[in-house]
Amino acid sequence: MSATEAEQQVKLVSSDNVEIITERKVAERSMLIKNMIEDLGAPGEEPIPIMNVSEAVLRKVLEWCSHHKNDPAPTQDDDADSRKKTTDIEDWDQKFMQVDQEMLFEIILAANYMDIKALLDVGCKTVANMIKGKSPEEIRKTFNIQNDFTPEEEEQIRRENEWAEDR
Amino acid sequence: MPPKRSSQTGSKRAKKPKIKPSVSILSLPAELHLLLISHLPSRKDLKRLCLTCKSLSAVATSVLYRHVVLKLCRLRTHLERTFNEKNAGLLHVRHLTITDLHREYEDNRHGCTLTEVLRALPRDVLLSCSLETSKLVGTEVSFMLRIRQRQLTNCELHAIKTVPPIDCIPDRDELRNVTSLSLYLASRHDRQRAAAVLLAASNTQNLALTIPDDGLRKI
Repeated sequence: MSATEAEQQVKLVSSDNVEIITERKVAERSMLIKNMIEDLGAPGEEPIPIMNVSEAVLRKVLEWCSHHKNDPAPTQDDDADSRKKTTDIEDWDQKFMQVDQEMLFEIILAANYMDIKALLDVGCKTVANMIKGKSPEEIRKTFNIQNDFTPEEEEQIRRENEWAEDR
Repeated sequence: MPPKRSSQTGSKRAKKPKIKPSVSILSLPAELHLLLISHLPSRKDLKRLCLTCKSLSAVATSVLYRHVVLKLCRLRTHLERTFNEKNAGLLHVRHLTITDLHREYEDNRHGCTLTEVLRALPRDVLLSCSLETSKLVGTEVSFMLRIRQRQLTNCELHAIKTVPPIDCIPDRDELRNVTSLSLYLASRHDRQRAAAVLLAASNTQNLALTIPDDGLRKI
């Protein structure tokens, strides 16, 4: 990307029809947008529709992209392994993720749709940390999940999974 | 709590709620649940997730069962509780490890139980199998594995000797799946068994025969 390209502005349109202007470099943390810009050819002129993401969520996602705009691009091979083993989240990201649950899941959905792997990971790790060490009942409470098992089914699962011990 | 749909007749209002339903963990697609769960390496957490609700349970189960580790001394209990037809988790087993074999395997009871466990496991799901043992593994066990698990590429079995008695192969038809056979002939009795196995295993492409130095005389 040349210097002029990096300074370019792009216009994004959220699902609720709000235009947001941002740096091209920030927007291109999203592979979806990056590919669209490449396909459209003339960035800055044509607004880019982000169909599934509302203004509030899009602004939040762009805030993350802006903080991480100078991160090195992810390489193929650190994809599977190193990403998943740790649930450590850097401080800034941890603070960034201190939002209500609805926003948290909207960010995850948006990161998935906009193809921003690093943000998707941070989101998933945040949720994983909310699950860790909790009892089934506590998990249900945390995420407002209704127990749709009968006591018999629960007992059956308990017995079936008895083999699984942590080594 | 998700809003309960009332089933009143004639109310069109309930049909299209203007307010967007709130996004929760359950509104994520299964692929994202899988990604979430991949950040939970502990079996304990997976087990607990299996008990929260049906949709999270399905995903957690598929991850939990990928690598099943069983202790030989508890095998009978596991066979009864885990290896039943209704347990959908079994379809997700790719790696099976049996531990503590060295201590207990002398007792043939366990060999039989192990064979039963392998029989209860769905066909062609295993990619690897590790029986942590220094002692002999029964020939039935190794045979069950080869016959029923055709994707198995990495199998650590120790000291497999003769072909099993043909009677202990549950379904002789299954031998048709066998493409590689390795037979160890040390006695006339072995020769007879081998002949029966060869007849049934009509698709054999690779055959390895091992005859010990003094074996030729005996067979």
